[in-house]
Amino acid sequence: MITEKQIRTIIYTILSLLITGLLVSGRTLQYLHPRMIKFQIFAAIFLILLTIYNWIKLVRKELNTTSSSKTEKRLQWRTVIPFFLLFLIILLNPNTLSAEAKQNKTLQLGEIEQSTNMKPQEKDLVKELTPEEIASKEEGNTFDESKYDNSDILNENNIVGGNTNNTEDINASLPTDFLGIVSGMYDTPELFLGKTVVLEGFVYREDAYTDDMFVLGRLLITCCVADASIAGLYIEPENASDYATDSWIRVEGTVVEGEKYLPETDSYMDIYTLDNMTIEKIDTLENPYVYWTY
Amino acid sequence: MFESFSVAFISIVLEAMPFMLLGTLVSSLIEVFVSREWIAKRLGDGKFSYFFLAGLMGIIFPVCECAIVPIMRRLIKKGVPKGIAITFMLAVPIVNPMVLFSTFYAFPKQPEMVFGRAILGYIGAILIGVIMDRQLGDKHILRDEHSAIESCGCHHHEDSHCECHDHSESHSHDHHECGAHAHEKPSAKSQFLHIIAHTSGEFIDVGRFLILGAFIAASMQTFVPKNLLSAVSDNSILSILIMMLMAFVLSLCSEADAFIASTFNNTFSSTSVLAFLIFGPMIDIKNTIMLSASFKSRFVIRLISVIFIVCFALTLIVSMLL
Repeated sequence: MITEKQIRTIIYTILSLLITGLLVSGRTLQYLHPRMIKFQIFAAIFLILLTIYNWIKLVRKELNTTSSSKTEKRLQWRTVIPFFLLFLIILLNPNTLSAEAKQNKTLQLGEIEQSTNMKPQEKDLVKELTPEEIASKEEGNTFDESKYDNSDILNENNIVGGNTNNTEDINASLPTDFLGIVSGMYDTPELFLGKTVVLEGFVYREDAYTDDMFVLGRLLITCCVADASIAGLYIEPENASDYATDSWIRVEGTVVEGEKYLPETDSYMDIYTLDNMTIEKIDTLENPYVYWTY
Repeated sequence: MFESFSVAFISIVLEAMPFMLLGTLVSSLIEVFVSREWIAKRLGDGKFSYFFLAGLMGIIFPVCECAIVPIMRRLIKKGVPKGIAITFMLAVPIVNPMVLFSTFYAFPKQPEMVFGRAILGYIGAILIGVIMDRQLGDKHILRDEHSAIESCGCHHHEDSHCECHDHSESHSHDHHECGAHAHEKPSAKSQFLHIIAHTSGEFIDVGRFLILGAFIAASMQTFVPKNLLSAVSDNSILSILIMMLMAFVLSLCSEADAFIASTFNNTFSSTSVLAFLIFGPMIDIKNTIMLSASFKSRFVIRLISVIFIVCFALTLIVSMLL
């Protein structure tokens, strides 16, 4: 008969192996924001400690022939089933959200309000990175900084960040990532209008959309994939229907402003989008998510 | 769709697990180092100001709601006035640094959720405690003196036997392995082993509720159409009620529930998410079961009703003010 103590030891063993395995293989990032990794390391260490403790207890118990098995608590299935369900699902190694699941996510177009709140922290972090470092961190975000006028950036930072004394750092805060560019179009459109940007994302459509439009989106994670929302912008390429929903594309285009009918709100709104677009189909990015860094 | 469900399910569990581990560790530390007698001495007077003090005890006594019912029962048996013990039970799982820390992490861009949770939880716990105190008077609410649900019996006996504890359902424990209680000052080793034993048992006990909660939350996210949830969320009263019902059914540990609440943040209003965050730690299915084992049914029903009314009213007022 399997006792509760034995099954608890097995649960801790499998759990610590799985959590450690996810961390070592990097698969944790399929599910969580990178800032949560430190907590996963803590969990892995603590679970290993609990596993060792339970094994020692179990072995001691087995060696102690005087203890009666009658006093052992029986296996409780209501404790076992949830944990083994978790183990099974982790072992299946799911890693992507389907197009249908993305339909259930909130869509944030341009007015990614977090950008305003996060700006100081985001800039503080970006200051420490070179454009090359940022580009290597955010695979596929190939914004060409040479096309930007640095004086605009300085002005932008003087206004938004209020930091007029540290111009060298401000230069390095040029947005080079999907999120920085998309939110920047709305936060500081004067910086982007008329400029060429390159963005990579998936094609997202809602039922109300007409055939000639879709959203170029990325999943924005705050803590974990479960809380993800879709960040992106409307585009209307000439042959929009050629691009299947949920397929990945690289879009190069000029930032323009316009008024557009938005099916979600059933109203016309000023939006920022891309014009003169060149679109190329690409493979799904290794890391399909985007994050605010703080 | 199953793959999408699985991704959401795993991400919720992974996100909450470290905080749950940390919570059970802190709970175990308190179990070993802080005595109920110590708390009873400070809350036993029955003065009105003690309600306010009881509401803040979570700061130095950061236990989640999974472990609070046996402690509250013990406090009542130690002579702490019922209303104050109820305030203590309801406030500790909310107004405590561990829970607020995890809430901060779950809502990194919304510090108002942390403050809202702490303030509404505190006010709500005091209000409920005062109301119940007035209603209960001298009525006996305990089923009997030897009720099934107890916290660790060895707790604060100043004994040294506890490394052999097994935790089981509802935090009841087996003492079958312990042998005689030796009332001596415990060694550092035995205290350490006691802490590990408590954590080991408690994490499994509460972890399964987290997994079930994550399962339901991921199912709702994946299989319930956004339009349906949006239709509900447009009605502030209905969305508060739905989120309170969800908190009750999910029975999440308050140290991890913020992460699940945050997954509804894009669909439901902030105040309804706040309702989830204050109602869930106060009462849920597992606490109802634990309360029913120790307290008379009439008291449990009355308590749940008052908790429901106060939490609903508070969040509704906040939603009207915002």
